[in-house]
Amino acid sequence: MKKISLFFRNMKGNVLLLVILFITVSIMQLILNYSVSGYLYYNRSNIMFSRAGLDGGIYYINITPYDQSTVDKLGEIVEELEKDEAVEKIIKNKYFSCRLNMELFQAVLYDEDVYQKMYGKLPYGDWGSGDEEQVCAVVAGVMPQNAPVGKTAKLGVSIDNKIEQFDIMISGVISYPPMVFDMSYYSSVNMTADKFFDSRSVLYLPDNEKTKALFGDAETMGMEMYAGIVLFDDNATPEERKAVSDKLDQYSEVLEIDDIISNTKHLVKEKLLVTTSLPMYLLVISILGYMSICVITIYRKKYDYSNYQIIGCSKRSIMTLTVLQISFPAILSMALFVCLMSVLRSLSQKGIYTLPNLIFGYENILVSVLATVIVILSIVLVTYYMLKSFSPLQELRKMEK
Amino acid sequence: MIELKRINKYYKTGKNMFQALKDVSLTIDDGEFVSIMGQSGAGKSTLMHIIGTLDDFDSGSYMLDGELVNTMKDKKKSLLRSSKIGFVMQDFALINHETVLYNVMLPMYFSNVKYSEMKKIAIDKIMHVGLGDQVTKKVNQLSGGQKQRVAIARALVAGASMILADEPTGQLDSNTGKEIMELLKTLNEEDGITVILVTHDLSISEYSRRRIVLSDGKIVSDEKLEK
Repeated sequence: MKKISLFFRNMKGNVLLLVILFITVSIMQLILNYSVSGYLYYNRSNIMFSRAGLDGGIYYINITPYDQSTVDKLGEIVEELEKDEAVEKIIKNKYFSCRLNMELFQAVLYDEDVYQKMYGKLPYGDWGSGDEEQVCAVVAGVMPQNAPVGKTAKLGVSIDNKIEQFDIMISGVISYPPMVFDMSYYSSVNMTADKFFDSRSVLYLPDNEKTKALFGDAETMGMEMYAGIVLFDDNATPEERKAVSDKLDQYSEVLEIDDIISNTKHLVKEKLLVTTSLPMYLLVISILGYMSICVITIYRKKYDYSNYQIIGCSKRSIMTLTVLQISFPAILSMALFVCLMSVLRSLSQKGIYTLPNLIFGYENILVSVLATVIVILSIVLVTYYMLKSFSPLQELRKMEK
Repeated sequence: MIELKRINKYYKTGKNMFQALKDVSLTIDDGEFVSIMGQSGAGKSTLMHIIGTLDDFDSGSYMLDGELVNTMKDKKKSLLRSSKIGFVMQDFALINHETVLYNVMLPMYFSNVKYSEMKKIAIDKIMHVGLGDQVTKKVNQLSGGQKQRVAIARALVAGASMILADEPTGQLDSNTGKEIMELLKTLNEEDGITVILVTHDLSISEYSRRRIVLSDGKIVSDEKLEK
């Protein structure tokens, strides 16, 4: 209580300075956390894409989907390639609109092997073992605690212009904020993995015989498939791969998955450098500001410090008091941002509130604390250096003169 | 009780070493009123600062109430200054922009006195030195004599049994100086506070009961004064 009272009493006359320091370091924390959250998003897209086992494959997309003839011809080529020995499988983006318990969703037929590797363990439930009686679906874009995991849901689908109702089991939910894999984006310039992820309400249904038995095949569902990923057999030769790529190239744009992964790694590194350069610059400015204030404060208070020592305050206590007072705005700002990031992380994971292309993780908290520790260390350094040879007697003699 | 044995203190002045104290030995009992006199540069203030643990010495030994001060760390010395030793300086050494009450309470922030009792003890000491009506005034609004009374109250507040006064009347007129000396004498005679006074003024040293004279860092005389 005594030390706390002395601490705040000593801040008299410095309030404006401390407020300015607080604002400066808070701006730095804000930009730092924004950069870190952006980096986390790009990094996650890279990790998910790399985890999916798509290496060595090719991505194709018809960039004129309004031209039915190219769509049809592409469809024929894909059907033909599915029988090619060089091709292990083709993952097509099969989707259709539906209503889940009367709410509008996009249903996606997902490749069980690839998607389960990509998304990993779900926060609630799982992808379903396949032994269940009903078709198991995983939802994305629903607040995880509100998702009816383990329950049967009514799925409304338009088939042959008629609305049909089906009972399905909701077996799991994608974490929040959802990063929904979507094969409908194309960029001719350095295509990267983050472009494949979107945030919306999706219902994942396994692309297998059980689902086909329930809904019918793609034609019955009226699904237009103008994009996909071709995975090659391990024994496919480079010539065979090229032949496949050339066939698809007639009616679509073709990109190597390895190029996409490489571009993404490069992007993530770039993001780390470019987006953190501004916060690092602000951190340096903050440190210089704090060090200057530290020097000014100690000069102003040297006479007071000599009094403190005379009446029984040890040099270490003086140093501690000085360091705490000057670093108080930084500590306050850190506490504010740690709370803010924790709250945003919690709200984000629960699906209550998210920001586009930003992920809030424990990394935000770590970075906020680290930046503050660096600021405090600079203050400790300056204080130690200035008070190391401080002598109350010399200060008193100066005053006497 | 203060016991100094063969204390030597050197100062570095440029490339040379200046010996401020040479083999100084003395004993001061509890409750004594001692004045230390000498010309400028004799080593009076240096001796007082060593007794008050504000300064170190280069050789010899110093025992304070049976404890060896030589080997004490800064923390322990600071605790001594906050609980046993009070200082009264020529320039008052107060925090001028703060109130009388805050200045007097300040030593108790660094001692073992409970926070809830600090204010009461401080007001008690302020009244004891005759400044009961100045408690909330800022120090820079007081006269020289009043400031020195505040310094004395501050010196006593954490239970100090010893006051070290370095030219306490140096910045005061003669009448005010006498008032301060009377106060120190009263504290010594009625409360048993040990007072060690550094002065170059013979009339001021007459208030003490023992006079030690220093010259060139050595004790040249140590006499009891008849009253």
